[in-house]
Amino acid sequence: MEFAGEVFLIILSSILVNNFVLSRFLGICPFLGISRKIETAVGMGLAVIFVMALSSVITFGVEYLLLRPLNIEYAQTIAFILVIATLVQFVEMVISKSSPTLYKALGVYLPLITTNCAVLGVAILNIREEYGLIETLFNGVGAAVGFALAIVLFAGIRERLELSFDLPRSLRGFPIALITAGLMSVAFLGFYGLIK
Amino acid sequence: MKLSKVFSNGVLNENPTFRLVLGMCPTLAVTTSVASGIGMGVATIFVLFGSNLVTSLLRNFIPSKVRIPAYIVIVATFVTIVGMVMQAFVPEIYQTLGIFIPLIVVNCIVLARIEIFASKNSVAASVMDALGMGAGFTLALLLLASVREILGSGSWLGFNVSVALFEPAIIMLLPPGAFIALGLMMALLNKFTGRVEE
Amino acid sequence: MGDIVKTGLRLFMITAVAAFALGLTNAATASRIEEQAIIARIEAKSQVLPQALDFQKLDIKEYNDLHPMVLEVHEGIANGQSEGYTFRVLSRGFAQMELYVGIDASGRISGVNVVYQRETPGLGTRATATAYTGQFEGKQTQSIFDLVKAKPAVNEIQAISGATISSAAVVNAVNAAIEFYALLIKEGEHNR
Repeated sequence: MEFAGEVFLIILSSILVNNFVLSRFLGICPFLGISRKIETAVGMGLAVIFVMALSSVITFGVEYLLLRPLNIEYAQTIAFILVIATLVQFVEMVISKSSPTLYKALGVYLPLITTNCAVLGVAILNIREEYGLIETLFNGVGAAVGFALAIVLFAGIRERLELSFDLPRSLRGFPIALITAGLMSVAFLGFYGLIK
Repeated sequence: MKLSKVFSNGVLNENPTFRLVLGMCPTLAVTTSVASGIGMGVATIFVLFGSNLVTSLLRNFIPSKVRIPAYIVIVATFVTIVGMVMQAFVPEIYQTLGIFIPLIVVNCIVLARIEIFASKNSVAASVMDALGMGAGFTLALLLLASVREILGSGSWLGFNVSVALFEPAIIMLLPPGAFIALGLMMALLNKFTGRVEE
Repeated sequence: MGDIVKTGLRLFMITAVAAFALGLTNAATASRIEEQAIIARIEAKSQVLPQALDFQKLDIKEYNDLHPMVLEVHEGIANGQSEGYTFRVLSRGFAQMELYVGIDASGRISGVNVVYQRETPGLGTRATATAYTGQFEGKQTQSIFDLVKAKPAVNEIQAISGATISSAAVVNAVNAAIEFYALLIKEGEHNR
């Protein structure tokens, strides 16, 4: 029972308290670049959840079954990123064959998941926090859900902004995106005390 | 393109942070102090330099079909080397930068420059591009870190600067401060250089 | 067919050279990294128990279940006499925290030193700085400490406002060390 409680805390923590985008600064590039339409954001979010869950588990296996026994922990970065890149390629192939419409919608954003620092970031964090396999999986999913939550919220706000506001020219584009993210991040700060 | 122009391009016209808007993750995360910002900047310059150099040297050797994995291997190798050297010789900075050192491997700046520039240009030009982009990135880090450290801790590079003048605003060191500071800086830059989005 | 082989071969060569470069760098830096870690550990112990010149590790396997937070205990020796103990403790604020706590021969806290933390910069990190940890120095260890917001009594510690979680993490670690110390005294390992 205590284990379930711990896992629940991990999920809650990675979605809200230590939100990967708004607190840990992981996954900012796609966050700023993609989230202008809600549908794209949702699609991207789902793809990332899938990739992050799988990559968390696979990199966990790579670390404990390959790197540690062979004493080559320093190859962690290179091994993990190769796993992620391969996984993304694989996911791309699967989506393009099974759902061409989805593939077209996500378009260029799929390969970008490889360079999403959140994916590599959570894989490394799982190892540093010394999580077991189940905790790793849940942390990966939680982090991805937090990322998805952030970009969908953000897309919603930006859609509104672009329709209703007459922003001064120098603020348009990235400046207002960053400031919006900043205000969202303030809101998420409120979750800090949630976990004792 | 003249070599010096390639360099200045990376610093000004196509500054990776303010113009290309790449490498945001480390920019926002490590600029809580000027020392960390400089540390990250130097580490990234080294990775950019090594990656651009090797990619340019091997640009006719790397088969196009597998170029992405090849680039990844090259960049990851340099990132790991930088990490090991930092851990051995400057352990405090290594500790402070934490997870963001291995994350240099997915710093969009590095991969973008390899794909866009180093894979198609001479070694000399690629090296200048790496140095220029690295300098531009470090400059941006320095600027943002200065603002955040002075307003957030009342110090600069660890030296007390303004503690006597005003109470530091901790929010500058927290995520919101990073986002808002960078957003405002970009807006100001847009205003003064007359360049605007959309 | 030959094309795929050529492509695969080239990729393999690149990877092989990379692996070689990595192995080389590792060989060149591994010992230095290890050294740095050892120096840091010794420095961390000296900082919390400055009277000691040498540190002897105690076997605490039997106590691990009772006090899982305490990772290592060393006895500080100077001139053949015991100067007290250092405790390496693991705690948790927002993230994992590692500290050293020193308790001297008279049973007072001789130092608290946070060697690893990832707390909120500027806020939680204040709870790991000497201005806060210095509060513990000189305090007796008859009882564990409580965290309060203001006007701390002798067995109370004032938290950093806005950084309660990080402050508590440090206090919890020190309390764990105190409890362990009480165990040691009871077991008679320490001659008073």
